[in-house]
Amino acid sequence: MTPGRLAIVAAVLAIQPPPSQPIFQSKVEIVRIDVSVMRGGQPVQGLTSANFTLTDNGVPQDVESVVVDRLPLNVTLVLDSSRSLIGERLAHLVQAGNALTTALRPDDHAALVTFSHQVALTVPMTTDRQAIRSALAGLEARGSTALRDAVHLAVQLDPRDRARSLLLVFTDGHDTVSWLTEDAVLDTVRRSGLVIHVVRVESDAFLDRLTQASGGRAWSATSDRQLRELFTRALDEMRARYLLTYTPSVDTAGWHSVKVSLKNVRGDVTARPGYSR
Amino acid sequence: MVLRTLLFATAMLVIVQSPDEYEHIVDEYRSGDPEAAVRRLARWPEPAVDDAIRHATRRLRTEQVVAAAMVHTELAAAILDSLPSRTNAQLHHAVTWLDALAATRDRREYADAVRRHWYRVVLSLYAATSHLYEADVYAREALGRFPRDPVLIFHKGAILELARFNSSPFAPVTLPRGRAPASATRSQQTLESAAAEYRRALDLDPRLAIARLHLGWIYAQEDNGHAHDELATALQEAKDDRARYLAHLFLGGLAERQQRFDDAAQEYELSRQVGPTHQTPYVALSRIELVRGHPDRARELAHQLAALDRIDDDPWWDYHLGAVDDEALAWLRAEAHRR
Repeated sequence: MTPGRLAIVAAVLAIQPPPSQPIFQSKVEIVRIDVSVMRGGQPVQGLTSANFTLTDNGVPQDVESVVVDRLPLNVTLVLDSSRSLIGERLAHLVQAGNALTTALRPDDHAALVTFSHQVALTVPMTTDRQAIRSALAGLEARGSTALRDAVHLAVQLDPRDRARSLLLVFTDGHDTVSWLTEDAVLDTVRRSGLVIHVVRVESDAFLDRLTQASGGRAWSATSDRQLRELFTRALDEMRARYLLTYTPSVDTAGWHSVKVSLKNVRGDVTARPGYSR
Repeated sequence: MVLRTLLFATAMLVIVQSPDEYEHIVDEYRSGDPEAAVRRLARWPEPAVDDAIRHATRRLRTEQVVAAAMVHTELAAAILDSLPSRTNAQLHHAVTWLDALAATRDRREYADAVRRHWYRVVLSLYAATSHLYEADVYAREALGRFPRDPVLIFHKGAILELARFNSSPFAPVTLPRGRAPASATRSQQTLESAAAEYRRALDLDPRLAIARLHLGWIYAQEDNGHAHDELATALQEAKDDRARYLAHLFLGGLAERQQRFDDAAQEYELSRQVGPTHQTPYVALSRIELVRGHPDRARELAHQLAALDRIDDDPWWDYHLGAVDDEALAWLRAEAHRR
């Protein structure tokens, strides 16, 4: 390798070395794939690279490392604050947000993006839990729903640092006023490599496509009281994920289809379907 | 003591809800505190309103009649969310006054102008609050009276355009018997019906920029080859920044659909220059920069938006969700307050 900077291609998040180490320049693009392995509704633990098979555009790849639960998280809460939340639902949403904030570890960061028709970065990425709690306490339910615009902006506002990023989206309805189309936002998500989990009240085809595009999961709340449990479950699910890294042997521009499967172990695998470069 | 309080309260009710008091409310709306007048009228039970109007029709002067119609209209707007069933009663009271104005000798033309503006407010009010069935009923009534009014025809188109998102029983499109089309087909038919209304409005008034803007944006979504011409003309004829902002935004949207990403970025940028505190151009630009291969710029725009001191007034939201016809409302209020 020659000295310089490690190249980062769109949607391929390179693992950057710590600042104290020498920085290298390379055309090598390391791909990171967050993988969830579940069996009977519970995460499957203790897997190693020997348990995973990964193909990139149909070509088998060598999984270089499998990391679980070691890197800190950047969690962006993307919360619907539209008018339909007035009353008890908003109170339960605030409780759920607080519960998630409490469940974060000291080196985790969190941000709060709220949306009605207006999208706001209410609290930028921080370790200050009280800032998040105070903002949640001040939430007001009003206006329409610009879910797609909010997801695009939240993806763009993610810091893209060494941490694993999770967008946790909550909405109780459907988009009513976004400028961006579903396909546009799904493309944004595919380029990002972020994992997006969704907690929802009503079923919505876009939310299904969103989680599928990001390799995330969706939970449906059967009551407002369940929000708290589902928020923390979404965080736990993220922590239990395996982070697979590999250097693709296929060096072509465009969409790369990624398929992850298991060897010698049973379980349901959820991962993003690919990446763009 | 209880009996005395009850008697006093009953006496107050009689005083407060007398025809004299009704006239006082109308005058308060005309020249005092309109909001207080609306609040006071809101406390009246329907029978008392009916009774007061019956007496007042013989008493109010012509210049008070528009104010009487407006105080009921404003009350209807105020209770539309909380008491929708009472809204129509208030609008009927307003209609009583519009009829009274029309019956005034030598005021027919003025009465028509008032009624046209009133319909504009009512149609847009119902449409903006997703009461599309009611909006449609009033639109039919309005166009029955004024079949060649381009602005009312435009409002009919706007109701149809909003109806394509709606799954309510309101079905403006006549469907072949026994065939239930897929929702996409129905949505498309509704959109085409809206476009037909906009074209009819433009035939009557080719300079109605708002109708051209809506028509151009429908054409853009239908990949109709006339979309650019309609939007460019709407931009040329735009009378205010709101229309200019939307025209640039839609020209950007059209270019984006056609994968002319550099043109799209240019139009979105112009839209941002016209409305630098509005959200949508930042969202659109951020997305288009991503497509153009400038991810850092896409992120920078998102951060710029996040840091912006914004006002809750992006015209795209009103365009997409519907909004009360401010121009007609201001005209009616001015007439009601005229001395």
